[in-house]
Amino acid sequence: MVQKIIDIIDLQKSFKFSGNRLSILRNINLSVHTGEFLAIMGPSGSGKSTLMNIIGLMDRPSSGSYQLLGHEAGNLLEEERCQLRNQKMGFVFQSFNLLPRFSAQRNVEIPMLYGGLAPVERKRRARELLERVGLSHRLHHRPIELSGGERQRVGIARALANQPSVILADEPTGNLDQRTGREILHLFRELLEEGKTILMVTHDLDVAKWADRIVTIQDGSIVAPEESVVVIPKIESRTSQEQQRLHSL
Amino acid sequence: MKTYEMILLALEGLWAHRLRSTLTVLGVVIGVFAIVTLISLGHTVRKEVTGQISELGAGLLMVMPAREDGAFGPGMMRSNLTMRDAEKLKNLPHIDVVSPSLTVPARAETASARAGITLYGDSDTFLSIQGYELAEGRSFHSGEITARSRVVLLGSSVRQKLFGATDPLGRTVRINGATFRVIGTLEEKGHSFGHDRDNIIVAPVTAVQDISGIRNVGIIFVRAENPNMIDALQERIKAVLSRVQTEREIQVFSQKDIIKVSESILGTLTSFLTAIAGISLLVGGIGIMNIMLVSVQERTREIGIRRALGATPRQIMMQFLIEALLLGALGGLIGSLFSLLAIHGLAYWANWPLEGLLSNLPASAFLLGILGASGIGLIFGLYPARKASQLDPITALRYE
Ligand SMILES: Nc1ncnc2c1ncn2[C@@H]1O[C@H](COP(=O)(O)OP(=O)(O)OP(=O)(O)O)[C@@H](O)[C@H]1O
Ligand SMILES: [Mg+2]
Repeated sequence: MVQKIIDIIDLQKSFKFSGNRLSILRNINLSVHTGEFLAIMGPSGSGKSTLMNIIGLMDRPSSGSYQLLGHEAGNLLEEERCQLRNQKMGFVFQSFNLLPRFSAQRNVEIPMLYGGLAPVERKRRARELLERVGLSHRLHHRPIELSGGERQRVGIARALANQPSVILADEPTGNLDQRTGREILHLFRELLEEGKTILMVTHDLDVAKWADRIVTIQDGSIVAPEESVVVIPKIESRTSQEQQRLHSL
Repeated sequence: MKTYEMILLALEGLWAHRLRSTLTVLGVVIGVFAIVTLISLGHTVRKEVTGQISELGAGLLMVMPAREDGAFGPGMMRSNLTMRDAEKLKNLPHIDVVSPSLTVPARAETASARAGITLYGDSDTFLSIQGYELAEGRSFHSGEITARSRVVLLGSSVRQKLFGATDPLGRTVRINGATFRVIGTLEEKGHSFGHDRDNIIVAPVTAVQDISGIRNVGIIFVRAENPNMIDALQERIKAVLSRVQTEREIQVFSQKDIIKVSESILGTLTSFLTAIAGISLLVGGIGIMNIMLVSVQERTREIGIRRALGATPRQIMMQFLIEALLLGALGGLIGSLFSLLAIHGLAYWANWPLEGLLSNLPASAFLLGILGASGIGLIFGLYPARKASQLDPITALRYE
């Protein structure tokens, strides 16, 4: 039986904005199972990033329940939320968000630094991870000396630093061309094989199709019922012809 | 996260913005440099002055005319003490030495050389009271004072200037036109704050009176048989001299009094200068705060990224706080080193004996410089660091 890693019940989020309460997320119910690859789609301003921030423990819901790995997020202290984020979550950003003055290796080390890993161990693991994403020849390059695709690989290596359970990717291919985007998505599928759970926000249906399941948000609510969302067959179960077609997109 | 990792993280942050860090440190360096140098010099000068006064010995009293403004100090221009006063004091009980003296600037010349010197008119007890030692020849005796004999002792610098390598004993020197015979020379005494203590000629006070046209004496040195009797003697001297001539005022200082006065003058001066230097250190602190605020603003996105990667508000706070602390500490360290360098340079330039100076330097001034600057960094870093830690991570991540 697959375990629910994320369980959101009746979640609301509103912001105070010039005196008014702006309701951004309404009645969100969403469960994600361990090892699942979920794509979240929806028009701009529909609240996708807001939801991702709440899931990533960067923000708090206005009401409702959010359980992460069995913890009720609302009951956690700020320190615990930081620790959970550090150990169990890996963020991948559209704009990469690497620290510009530091080398690729140093960037990958940062989550481990806050995780309390010893320097030697940190460096070793950072090299390993960069090798894993195919950047063993770029360890000491700074972000500005890397291509977009390479930067995103560094971002992914960094997200994997503390062996998290969940990868949260907000439009990870948004700043990349199709070919590079596909390489990143391939990487995600590989991570899935290793047992990671991935949540990915995207505007692009072709990108979303790489996921196991697509959820659509409109005006702060999930539109199609969770159960009825079309499940896209896992990539390895597709015929090679289908794959060919998909990759030529 | 371990403490040393925190420090490394802060160092990394400073290194990433090295130009800015350097300039901020410079602001602190100036303040610390000023403070440490002033405290050190003040302290050294005080010790040196006190030491010189102490050389006079605890049993010594100085009798001099009171100044009209009531302040301490020699009022030789209008001195009203006479040789007769000195004779009177000799009759007091428990007195070891009475030495009337008169000091005037003078020109000394031989056939081949000339020099501007300080001429000490004194008695036969000059050597023991002023702490000089005889190198060659002999000192003058009381008979020569009574006889107003034109005999002199040469300080080592004067001896060098006027006679070079030749033996001066028995030769003559012309002082302000009058001819004196050299009967002895003095051991070297050294410099004090650039002042050459060997550029002196000592002669019987009576002879100095004769050639300078001054009838009185400047100071009468009185030494008690026992230092414990100083206070009682001070009163007796005042009483005796007042009885001679009631309308005049005199002052009697003990070594203790002089130390007290000079300490208070130098102390006030040092505190005043230190306060000014303290303000410049404070300005350095405000510089740290300013730069840290700019830094927090400019690194908002970095803070957001670090938060997303799991940094706690506390860890963010510590990073910036330690950065500020290190800026202060670094400024303190460099400022102190510069100060040490400057004092060396000054000592060399002013011809002070370096060993004595350095052993007199207060280690506390350097410690104060480094700790004070670190403290300033810490205090002025607190607000920016708090600000950094309280940033909302999402807003911070969105910051362009
Ligand atoms: N701090 C805030 N205060 C007020 N309104 C906010 C705040 N944060 C987000 N919003 C609003 O919430 C809505 C949803 O924003 P969100 O970033 O989640 O959209 P999104 O679905 O990710 O859009 P996009 O696809 O363009 O990234 C927007 O209308 C935005 O203006
Ligand atoms: Mg968004």
